Amino acid sequence: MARAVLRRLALLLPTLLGITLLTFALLHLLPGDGAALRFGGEGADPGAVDAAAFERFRAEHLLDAPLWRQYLDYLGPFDLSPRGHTWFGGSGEQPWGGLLAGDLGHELLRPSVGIAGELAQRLAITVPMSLAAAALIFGIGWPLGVLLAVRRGSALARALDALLFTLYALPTFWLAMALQSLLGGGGLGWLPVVGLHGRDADPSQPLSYALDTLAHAVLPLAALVAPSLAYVARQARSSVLEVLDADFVLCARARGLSERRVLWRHVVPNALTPLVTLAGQTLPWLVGGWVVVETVFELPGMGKYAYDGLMRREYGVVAACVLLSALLTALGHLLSDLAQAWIDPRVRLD
Amino acid sequence: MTEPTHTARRWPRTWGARCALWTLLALVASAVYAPFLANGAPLYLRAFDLRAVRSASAALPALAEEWRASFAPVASIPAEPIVRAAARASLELRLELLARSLDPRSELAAHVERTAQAVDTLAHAPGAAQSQPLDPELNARLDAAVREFDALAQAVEAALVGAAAAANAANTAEAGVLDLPAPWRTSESWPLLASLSFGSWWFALLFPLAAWVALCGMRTRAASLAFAALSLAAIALTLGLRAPPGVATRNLKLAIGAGEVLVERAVFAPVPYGFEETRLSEALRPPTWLPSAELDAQGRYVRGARAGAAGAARPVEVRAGEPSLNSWRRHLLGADSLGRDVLARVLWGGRVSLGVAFAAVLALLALGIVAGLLAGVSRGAFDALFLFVAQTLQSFPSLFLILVAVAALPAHGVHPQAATALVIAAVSWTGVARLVRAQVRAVREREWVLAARASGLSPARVLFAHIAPNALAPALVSGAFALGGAVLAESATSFLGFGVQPPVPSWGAVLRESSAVEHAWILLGPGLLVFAAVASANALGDALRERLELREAA
Repeated sequence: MARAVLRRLALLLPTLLGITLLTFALLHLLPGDGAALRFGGEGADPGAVDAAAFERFRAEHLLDAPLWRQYLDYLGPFDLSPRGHTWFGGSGEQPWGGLLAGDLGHELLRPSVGIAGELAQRLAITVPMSLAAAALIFGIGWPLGVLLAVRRGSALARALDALLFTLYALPTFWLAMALQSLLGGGGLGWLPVVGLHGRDADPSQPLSYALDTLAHAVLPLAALVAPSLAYVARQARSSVLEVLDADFVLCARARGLSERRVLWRHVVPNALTPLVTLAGQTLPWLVGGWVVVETVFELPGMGKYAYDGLMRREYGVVAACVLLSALLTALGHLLSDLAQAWIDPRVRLD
Repeated sequence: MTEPTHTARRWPRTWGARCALWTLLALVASAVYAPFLANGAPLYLRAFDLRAVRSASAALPALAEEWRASFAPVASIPAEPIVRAAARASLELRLELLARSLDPRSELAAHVERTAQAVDTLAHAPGAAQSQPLDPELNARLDAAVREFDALAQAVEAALVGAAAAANAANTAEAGVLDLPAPWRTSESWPLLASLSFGSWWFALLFPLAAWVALCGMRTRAASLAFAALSLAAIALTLGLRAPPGVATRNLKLAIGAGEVLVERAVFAPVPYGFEETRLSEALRPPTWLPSAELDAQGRYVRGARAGAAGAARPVEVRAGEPSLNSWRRHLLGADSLGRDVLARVLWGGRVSLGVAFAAVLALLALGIVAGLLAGVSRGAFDALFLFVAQTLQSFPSLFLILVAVAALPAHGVHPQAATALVIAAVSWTGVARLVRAQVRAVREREWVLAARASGLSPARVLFAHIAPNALAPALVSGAFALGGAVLAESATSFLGFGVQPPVPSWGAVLRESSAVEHAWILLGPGLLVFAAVASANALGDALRERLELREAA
């Protein structure tokens, strides 16, 4: 098992390399470069720009260097700029940098803000919300799928089926805005719809603060969870239905086992373990969904950070967010593979 | 040993699948026929174009002088025959326009006819085709012709005085009552049809065939014959229905309102608005069948939340062909922040949304099937490369990747809609490719493939004729689901402000207008269409999968 895990981890390496390559390529495809943004954008008066500072900035950020050099600088752990590691012709003042050194750079328009630190703050919102969303998706989706399969043909199952089908076809942003209009201030006024905390929320009173946060999180979570929940429930249903027809279920019934025991001991474990991989796939949907949901509900999370970065042409921010979400996703795939191998002895990790 | 399962040739016959197919067809039909359903230009117009006649007659003397000059070599540079032909063509265009607006029995019409003939004879006179200095006789005839044009322009000017009076009378009279003075008459035109591009004609004619093929299954020979006939018809119609001279299709409604085009009869599209026709006095007006949308003559809301705030109100201008100010069908889905009709934008938006989605699905199926087949049959480096690329792409949240790439590509000269379609395909082809690859691996060692290989067929033939048909069924199913996914991805991209750029409408771009809670009614129309498209694509996918599983089980 340990060797298999190690081998699987080794297989992750090329993927990680591919992720950094693609991120780097996208970063270079985006219009405009850092120097242009830093020194006043496209509309700035060329005479007003300090030409020496402009050139120094270009040189420091390797903007005129060949692409492979820029990529190596981006990847790290050596800093290839003029002040970088002596191995690459630098002065040695600042030898380490780049991704492998854990350096994500600074924002261009607010040079005092480190992207890594800002991202960590944003993740403190996005990660708990994602975990809650995943818990809701699988905590509701799987039992719902089992229920739908067992009660197939009944009026309840049909109604739920239609509901799930509808939810699965709704765009996340549409659902978010519809919930906002329906339940927010302009509609029924039941729940807050903007931000993560009320204006007068007081962090020194933990209970009311937590309740306030919870109230703010309900609608974003609902908008994000509904389509994925529908997908997972539908997958679970078809998986359970498939297993219900299997010979070993017939055999279990023939041995005189109770229907409940057949279901929980024979059908459900066999039907749901293949769906563990779905948990790994859910992660990218969640992260992609957050871009939309955080934008609509104005939550200061990672998705909103990436969206704002794209709008403001802060490409360092965009690259960091894309990279991080890809890393998380790759990790999610790995964990779900490992979990499946651990649960289901028929799965081999090779 | 079961028979090899071929790709489903016929659509599933269940109730849900039929519903989905019809819904999808209806959506595509509304997108294909959007120019006929929502258009600011009238379908049929019987009118007198005062503005065009006036500008034509005013231009005549100058154009005649230009034409005259094109005969004489200037400073030893020989006159170019092509310059002469162009000058003559623009003269003839004006004369044709005048002739169309005149009663053929009138004296003025005879005058126009004479002038046109003079131009024609001079153009074909001996010596006129050469570039050396003209003989004096031809020169004198040219001078006479130019004087003739001056006289004609003065005569037209005199005759127009009566027509301008008729214009004022028509403005006060009912529609359809147009009393034009003697030499003038109205002429017919089809501005909407004339404004359609070749592509629009082609799709409009092709759609019934496509629908028939989708509903009945492909009948190859009949379908291809019809396909050829229809593209010929589209070309013929596009060439034959070029805008007749003088009928400018843009802003025709404004010209009618200003009394420059005198209408005898006009037939408009059911939604008489263009998708970029702005009307700021009706910004964010709710659907007009709602009581809260009622406006008074000064453009103030009569009731509802906006009744009190009358600061920026100004009278609404009801243009030609539009329903009256408070008619329930003026704006069935309301108007957006620039006062553009949401229904018109949604109808035209379907062209973009569905077009991008179908293009993306075609591209991703092509890419996924080819890559999957190649990876399935090869064992070595290509398969490893494929797995590397697929693994990397699947690690990115697709919406993230789509947003960033769609923001990047238009700066490199890629059309925004094409960029959206390409990026959606490039990000999501891996799923199809993996399915095809797995299927190829499952099929590769089956008996009929071994038999084909043993009988000495080339590897390419074995792959495409014996393996591929059996590996494509799952790709078809996931193509149906990918269609829903592509509609969702496009609408999310446009909603976030990337993808299509204003004023081009798409469903997501229209939804972007509903930024404030009090304008939530904008959500309804486009949201319903996105939902219908995605739901019917998914239902189709479900039905196809069930059918394929049944076939495989049988």
